[in-house]
Amino acid sequence: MNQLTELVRAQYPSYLLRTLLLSLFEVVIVALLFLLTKPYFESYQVFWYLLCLILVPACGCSVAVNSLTKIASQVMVQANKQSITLEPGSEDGKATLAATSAETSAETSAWQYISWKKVVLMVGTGLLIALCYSASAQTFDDLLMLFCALIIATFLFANWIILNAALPFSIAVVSAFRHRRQVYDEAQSVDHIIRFHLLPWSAIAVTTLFTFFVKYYLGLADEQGYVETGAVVKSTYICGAVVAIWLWLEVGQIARLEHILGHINLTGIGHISDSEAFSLVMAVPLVLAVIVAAINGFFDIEHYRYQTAIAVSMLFMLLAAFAGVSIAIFKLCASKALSDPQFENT
Amino acid sequence: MLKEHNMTQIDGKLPNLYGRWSLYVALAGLVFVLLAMLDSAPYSNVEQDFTVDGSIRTGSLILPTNSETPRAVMIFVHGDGDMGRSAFGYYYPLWQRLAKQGIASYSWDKAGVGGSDGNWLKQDMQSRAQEIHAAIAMLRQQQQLKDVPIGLIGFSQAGWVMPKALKDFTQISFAVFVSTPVNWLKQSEFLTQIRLQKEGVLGDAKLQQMQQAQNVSKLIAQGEAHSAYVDFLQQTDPDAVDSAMSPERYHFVQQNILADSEQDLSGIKQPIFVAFGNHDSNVNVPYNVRQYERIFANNASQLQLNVYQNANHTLLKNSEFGHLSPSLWWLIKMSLWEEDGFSEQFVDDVMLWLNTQLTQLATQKTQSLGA
Repeated sequence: MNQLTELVRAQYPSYLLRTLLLSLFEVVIVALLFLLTKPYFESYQVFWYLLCLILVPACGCSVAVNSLTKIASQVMVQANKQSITLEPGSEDGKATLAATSAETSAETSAWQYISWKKVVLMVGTGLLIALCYSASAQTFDDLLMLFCALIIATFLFANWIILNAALPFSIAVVSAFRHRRQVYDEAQSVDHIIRFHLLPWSAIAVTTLFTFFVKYYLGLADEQGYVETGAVVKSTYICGAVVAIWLWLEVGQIARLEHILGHINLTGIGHISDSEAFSLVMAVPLVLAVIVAAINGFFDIEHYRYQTAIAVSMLFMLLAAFAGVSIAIFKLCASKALSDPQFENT
Repeated sequence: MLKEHNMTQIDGKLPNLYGRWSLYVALAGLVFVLLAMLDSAPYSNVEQDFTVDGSIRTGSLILPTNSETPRAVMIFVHGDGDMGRSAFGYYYPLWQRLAKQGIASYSWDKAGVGGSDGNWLKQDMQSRAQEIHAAIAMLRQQQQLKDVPIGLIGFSQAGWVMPKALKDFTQISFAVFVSTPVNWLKQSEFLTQIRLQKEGVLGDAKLQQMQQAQNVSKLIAQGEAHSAYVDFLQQTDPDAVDSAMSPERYHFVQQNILADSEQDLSGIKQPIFVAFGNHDSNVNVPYNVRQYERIFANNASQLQLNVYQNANHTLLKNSEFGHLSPSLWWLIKMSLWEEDGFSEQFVDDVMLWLNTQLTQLATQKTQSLGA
């Protein structure tokens, strides 16, 4: 067994626990969000089906990306400490392929190891869970079983992705670090940030909350399907703040590795302290909420048809997600770039 | 240092017994949870067929899983059209809700639909009532349904079928009428009015077209052949020939055009629940409400009549389903919304009324046993 394999394998006990806890945490947070919006959770069973289709792939991918990044970061630190290097051009076909492809294609983002086939399989499993719940008595006990199934399915797929991708991803990261010659310029960095941070995380945040808003607004809507503007502004602010904080923390941690590899490099950003970043994350959704309220006041909109309310909230979530991701990246780039102490702390 | 001989172990995947076993355990756990969910299903669907005049009707008996003996069984009576046993999934939420209340349901494919023999377009309302009798005979042979009360729940056109069955068959204890008109010709006239209104036809043109529709109805009722009907259209309204009824549909309409449930309703002894939606564009709701109230004026306690707000002909929410014509999207939306697709209170009211009827029947049974 080679040393790198051993290094990756050494991460397993902690990664399994991390994957399990993240699966539990992410699903439970969404479950609580839904369950606490009483009295509406008891009806509109259809949204549990929709949630299955969205939550299994969304949580499966996010947990896998999170754990993979952590494993690769740890392997890179250890490989650096132990001076383990990759030797491209060996006689063995597979090994050479793994090592050299990592250098040339630079697949150093965990998202690149999630195939569409696996996503389709996750959606299929979500559908299966939804069908089983549909056939059940749909009592509160069944709802708890549904969440158990979602947690297990999230863990199952995240674990599967990690088992398949941990080694090639770690090789790619170690190789990219060893062979890094020049950091990305600003245009490349922005492209990278949009592709691997803004889009996937915003998609996950918005689709997950889409189900919530549909359910919540239908519960609030009167017979003709109208929701009061005050309820729209209030609920979107709360969810916007949650999304912005969540993505700020999540992306801040994951983007750190790519910052070290030189794939995220924005210059000219002044120092931003943690408290300033947190204040910004909390303030952006508030500003958005005030803008929505002002527009409603100007046009004298007292209530929205629930489809419009959903659209408004989704746009709000998207902007909040963008704010969370952007502030996380700015905070990262404002810190000392590519220094050894930072590398040690990954 | 990654040596060449060591690199032969790397094939893109990490062989790890620990990790693999965690996958197997998780998979087993997922299967276990899904099976546990399925185990709590509120009803089981049993294929149950019956024969009427030597012709097979294939159907489903929906048995609640929360009790060995159901509290009652509701027979579903279809409206117009080629309806399968579930009416394109429209009955699923009702079956589920009834099962949760411990009430079984039975529904069958109309003649010529699904596995059923025959052709529903050759049936009249009396022959459809006979189907109900045959279905009851079959249900009574089931051990768990031998002594339970039997009720009917019918939609639209079933309003001319159920009174005949209720009048002739004392084994039926109660019935739920959903958007059921009393008189075929009056309903036909109302449909023409609604169509002209949608087309924006007003004034003399409207009167002329109403007269034309009346003449067609008269011709059909007189027993004229389909060819005479087409000739009449060609002479009086050539544009309508393309949308003329097929010979089969014409025959069906001719058999039933004089249907009027007033006499049958007057003869029934069972309590009935009648539901209409205020956005019904198939049935003249104010007129029919008056008819039901008049028919049951001498025995008001026999009738409970509710008109639901924001409800269309199917008693689904008009704000969500009113703009949708029967289509794939309608089916998807209906199957997704389930019971929440129905107008507020409709399903709750039906369940409350059924529970009241079952309680009264149980009390009567106890009293008769005591006596």
